[in-house]
Amino acid sequence: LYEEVTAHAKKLEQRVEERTRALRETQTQLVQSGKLAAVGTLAAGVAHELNQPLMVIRGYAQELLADQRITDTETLEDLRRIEGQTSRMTAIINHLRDFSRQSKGARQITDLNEVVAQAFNFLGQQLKVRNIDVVQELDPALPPLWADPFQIEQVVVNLVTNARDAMDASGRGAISASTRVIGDGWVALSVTDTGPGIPNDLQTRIFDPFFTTKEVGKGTGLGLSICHRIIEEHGGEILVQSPAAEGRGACFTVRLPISLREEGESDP
Amino acid sequence: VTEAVRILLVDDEAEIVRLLTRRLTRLGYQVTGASEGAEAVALLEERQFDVAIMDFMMPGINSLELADRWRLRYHGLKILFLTGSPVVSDIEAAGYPCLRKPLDNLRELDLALEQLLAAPPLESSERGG
Repeated sequence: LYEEVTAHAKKLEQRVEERTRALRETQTQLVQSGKLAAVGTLAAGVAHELNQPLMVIRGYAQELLADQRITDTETLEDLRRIEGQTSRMTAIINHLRDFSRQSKGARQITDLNEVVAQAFNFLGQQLKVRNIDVVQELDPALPPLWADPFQIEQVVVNLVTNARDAMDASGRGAISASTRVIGDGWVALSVTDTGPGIPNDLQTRIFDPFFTTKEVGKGTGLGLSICHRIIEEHGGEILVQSPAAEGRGACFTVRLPISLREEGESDP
Repeated sequence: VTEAVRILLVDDEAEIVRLLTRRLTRLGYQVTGASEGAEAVALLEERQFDVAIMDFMMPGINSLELADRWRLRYHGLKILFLTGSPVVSDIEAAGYPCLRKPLDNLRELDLALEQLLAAPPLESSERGG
């Protein structure tokens, strides 16, 4: 009887542990979503408010550059610098806007492999210049998804850009992207790099808005938060594993449900 | 010499009014600035304008409805929206040209104005679809 009771107690303990772990995970996800929503609202407000003074600064720089009375080359160069810096600010504002955009993108039948290929097509030249090899292992039998291809492409571009930046310091490297069916109506996309990897203590923070390990001016820290939000809106999840292999690299895996379409909807 | 195109520029940001007035005046337009809706209405009642460039919020009034009202009341007035809020598609769906702030280059405004002036005026039936 004693053994039986002990076994029961152990089983119970195990179940409590499991449940606690599940609860903790859910809580983390909720906190993450809450943070993202709050920051989204803030970001939209900031982007809107910054637009006006930014346009004024940029506009005056352009007006002065067009002014025939200003001929001093040094002054003109300075004005060009002012204009150039406002371009950077515009890019940040647009990034903030993308982040805070509430709308669900237009869903359509989407070939994930095509989206991945498109993203690499877009980034190809940059990767080539940096001597980064690209390996694509795309499952030709991948079923189509009901998704916004532009948003998903944004996610892939973000992941690949991060992988690229991670390898900047370490010189030559490789980025591999693979797609596959993972059973139970899901597909997975993994983007793996051979960079230095992401330390354990940072892995819980990388999806936080404004968290970045990049140099000041190199990143807004919103890329992965945007990815997280887009994938969450698609009913999927995004996970990180690092080291990916042999003590190096990082692997980001996006899991997406194969179909969120209503029954009875027909192909266009 | 043809008469200068008369523009009413309404923006609640005074610095934007100043900047765009400077630019458009330099390009040969005759620009009058206003910083809020009531001031704009007073000006519209007082004299004739060819174009109104709008970016402002009037509490309780939908900018699109206001644009419709102005277009019908002040015959021949063409309207160009300039906005920082993410409603561009609504405005365009209503048939009004719309530029998004911040403008990457002020030339975008010149071009939008040229296009607007070259286009036939919106008929009253064209709105509301």
